Amino acid sequence: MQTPDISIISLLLCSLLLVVPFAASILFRLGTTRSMIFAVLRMVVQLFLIGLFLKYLFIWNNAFVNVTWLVTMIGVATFNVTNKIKLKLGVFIFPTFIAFVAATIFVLLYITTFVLRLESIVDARFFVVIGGMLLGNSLRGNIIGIDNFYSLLRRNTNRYQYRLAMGATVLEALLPYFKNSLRSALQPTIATMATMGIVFLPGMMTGQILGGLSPLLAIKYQIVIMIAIFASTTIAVNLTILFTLRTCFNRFGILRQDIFSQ
Amino acid sequence: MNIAQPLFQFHNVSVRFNDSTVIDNISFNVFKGEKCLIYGKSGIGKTTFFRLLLGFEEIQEGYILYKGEPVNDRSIWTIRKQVAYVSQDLDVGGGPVHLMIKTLFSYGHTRSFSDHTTKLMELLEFLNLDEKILMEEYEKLSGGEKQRIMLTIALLLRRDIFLLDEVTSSLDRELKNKVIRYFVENPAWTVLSISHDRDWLKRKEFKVIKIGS
Repeated sequence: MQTPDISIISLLLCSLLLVVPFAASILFRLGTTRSMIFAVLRMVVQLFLIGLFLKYLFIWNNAFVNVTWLVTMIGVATFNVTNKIKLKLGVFIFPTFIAFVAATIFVLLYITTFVLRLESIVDARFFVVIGGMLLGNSLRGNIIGIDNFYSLLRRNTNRYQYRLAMGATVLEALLPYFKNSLRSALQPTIATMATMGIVFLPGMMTGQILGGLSPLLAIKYQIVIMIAIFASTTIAVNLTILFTLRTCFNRFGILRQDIFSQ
Repeated sequence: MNIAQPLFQFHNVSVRFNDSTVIDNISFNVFKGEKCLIYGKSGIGKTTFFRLLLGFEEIQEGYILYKGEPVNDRSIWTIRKQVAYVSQDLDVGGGPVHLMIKTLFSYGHTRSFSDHTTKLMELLEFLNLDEKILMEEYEKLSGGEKQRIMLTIALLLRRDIFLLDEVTSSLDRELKNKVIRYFVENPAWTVLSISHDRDWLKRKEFKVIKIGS
């Protein structure tokens, strides 16, 4: 069956459903009406722009443009991570960016080369789209992981220093905090995987089925994507913590207090 | 090592935090096997001496030598492997005591002392602790119990330089004197203790460095 087109009139009809959240916001005086309007408008404009951009990206399908676009997305993701955690932008932006680049590019190239076996491994339809999905998902894990690691360490400075005083190396003394942070960073993806297909149908799979793909092929893509997200989040969190150690600890192995923005 | 060479040399050491002077131009030596007491009122910055020795604070004026070498970012890793430190702050770990001890003895440098069951039982008995304490959550222990667990860990390390920061502040008098005696009666041990307790001051074995008035 052909996927039915959604006309502008249909989109406007769909927008009528927004009456419900807006009415709730006004009725219960949630104070969110202005931010709701702003969010809806932003979503529509951003998606139209990206739709337009992706259309040309697919037509050009130029390796340089595709890679540049992905690196730009990684830059924006990095800015988002460092902006959301209570740590100084200048200290974290570069290590986080390198960690994201390494994690996303490695997993992406693995998928396009060995799993999908594409002729062009930087084909826009896969490289940019899957790359964007990986970034969006590992972004959340990375924010949780980094925030957890440094705030936990700051709260437990005495415990950490006691381990150093016992003769532990920095890595040995950091291990419990690292394990804890990695666990909390991966928890959302683990929970999503465990409930997928029963509690909810994932967006990508639903989109492919709506686009006319067979459900069996759609679930195979979904499995590939989830495993890729799991791997890239793990790599990104590990590398971000590893790359920031050099700048966040002094030569005596002590956590620098000036890395915190608050 | 030259016999006359001090183990630790504090030379004109000064430390200031936010315009207030914590340590002002202090000099003293500690020799191998010596028992040294840093004595003074609570809250005047005695702990800073240990924080400097362990590299937790950076020295601002003067210098500290350990076995004739400056305490710096290279030597600090050796110092930490050679001293047994008991901190005044009792929040040093979590979870069941036996797991906490197991973790602390899993590091490259402490792993060789991980087979310590007999010694552990002896120390628990010496410090009036029941072995059931090993199964309890460290965070739920009383201050006195935590202090005794930290002393046990320090003694299990089998090191001969002790940095003891108010280690008897939560112990009853009888046990406190037993612990003080234990540390002063071993001639091979170098003991550097911080206290504001007069029972430590009464022991003639200590060279006393008075801080403040």
